[in-house]
Amino acid sequence: MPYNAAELHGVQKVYKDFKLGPLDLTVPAGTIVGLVGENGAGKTTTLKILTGVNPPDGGRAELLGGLPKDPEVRARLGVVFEEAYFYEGMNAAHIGRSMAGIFGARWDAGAFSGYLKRFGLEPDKKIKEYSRGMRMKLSLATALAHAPEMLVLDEPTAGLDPVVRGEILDLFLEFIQDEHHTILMSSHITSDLEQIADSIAYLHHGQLLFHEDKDALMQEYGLLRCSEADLHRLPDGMAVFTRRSTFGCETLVKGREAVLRLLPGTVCDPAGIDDIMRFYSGRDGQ
Amino acid sequence: MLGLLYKDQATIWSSYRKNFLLVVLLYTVMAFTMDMKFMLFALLFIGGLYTTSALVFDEQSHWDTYARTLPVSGRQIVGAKYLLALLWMAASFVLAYVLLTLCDLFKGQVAENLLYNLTGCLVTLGLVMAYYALGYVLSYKIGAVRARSGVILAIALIIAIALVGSNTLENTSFFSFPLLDETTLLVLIAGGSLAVGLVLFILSWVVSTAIYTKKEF
Repeated sequence: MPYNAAELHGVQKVYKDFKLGPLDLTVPAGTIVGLVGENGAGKTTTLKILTGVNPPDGGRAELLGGLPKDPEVRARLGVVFEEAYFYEGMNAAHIGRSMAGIFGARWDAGAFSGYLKRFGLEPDKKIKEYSRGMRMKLSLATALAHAPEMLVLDEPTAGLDPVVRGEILDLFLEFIQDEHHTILMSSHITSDLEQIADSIAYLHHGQLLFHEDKDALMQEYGLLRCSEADLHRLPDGMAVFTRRSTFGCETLVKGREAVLRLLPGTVCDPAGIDDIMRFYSGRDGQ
Repeated sequence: MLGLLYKDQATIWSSYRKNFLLVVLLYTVMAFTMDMKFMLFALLFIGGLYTTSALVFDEQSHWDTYARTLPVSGRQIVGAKYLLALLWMAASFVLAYVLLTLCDLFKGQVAENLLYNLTGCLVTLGLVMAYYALGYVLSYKIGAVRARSGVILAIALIIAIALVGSNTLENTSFFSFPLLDETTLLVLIAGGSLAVGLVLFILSWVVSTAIYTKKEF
């Protein structure tokens, strides 16, 4: 029976200059959910609440059938935050021994060494001597070596070259082969999510605009290029936002198939996640 | 808990190993050759100082954000810091006492100074614990880097108290306490200092835990 690896119900977090939510989000087990949004949209805040780093001001978060602050639940979770990890004066061998003490019997030292070997990471080399890609690989090795059921990743591919990104994405696909494994990852590199995610959740100004199946989303949204007159023939609610130029209109539309039926002479290509974000944020600018 | 202890110890040792050995060597040479035995008491303070650096490293690497996703409680995270500080202070205590004894042995004064050295070490340990009790609470409240300013002032204060205390002990006429013999008085001073330091240290742990568990990252 399908179940949710994580759930947020009416979660809110209020800061002086930012408010998240109320937010409802579910992460089905066995899937990869991509969390997208502009800088400051609330992605990291959401992930911190979900992983128990900070409590919500309102609503509740559930993780792997329990509460995020429960150590038993956290033992089944692997987390990678972009900027939060061990001190850079440590090396991988230190980290392995430390995590063995923290995770106890769950920690698989052999698996950790295996990941280090696979990623070409020297156990005695200090983190500060690693490149950004190597640091990310070490973070992932650390997150995976206790056989977690769920990975929560904050910008895991940011700043990495395409080769390393490819390796990391392959690792995620490998992890998700087990149907009980789940990944929730935020990313600005939407092409990565287009490659591996099952669904996309779009956070915008602290609100969840949508959480939809990726394929359906790519099918549903379209970039319509047409004249102003054609645009007026569309029913209300179909056009999300239009950019006008001397060459005509470029519009993000919902219901691409319907648009093509209504305006058979126009061009309406499938919209990527980047396009969707770009047009939604443009709509706010007006 | 063991993993947290190991993490901080590994960080401290890989960052300060050479510094620590140099300080021990320097203070030992000063004590043996320049009649500056009191420098060995400072080892107790230095031992604790390294452990506060672990808090600075944590801030730099945003460790606490990460730590909260691990299967450890806030109580354990803070407790590991205090336990490591105690272990370092205990090890420094043993080291300082051994070096003091060796120094006296070298100068042929071991018999008359054995008790004074022990008392001095215990009093210093109590002061150092009191100092770190304050230092840790401040670090958890306002951040380790900012708390360091207060630490610098406290260092000066500790050294002044230690110097005055050591001179006072040396000059105290035990005949002015007619009801107490010398040994009893020294035990009372050392025990009192240690007890006060320990109580403050435990209180500090409780307060720091409360601050930490409410803190957001």
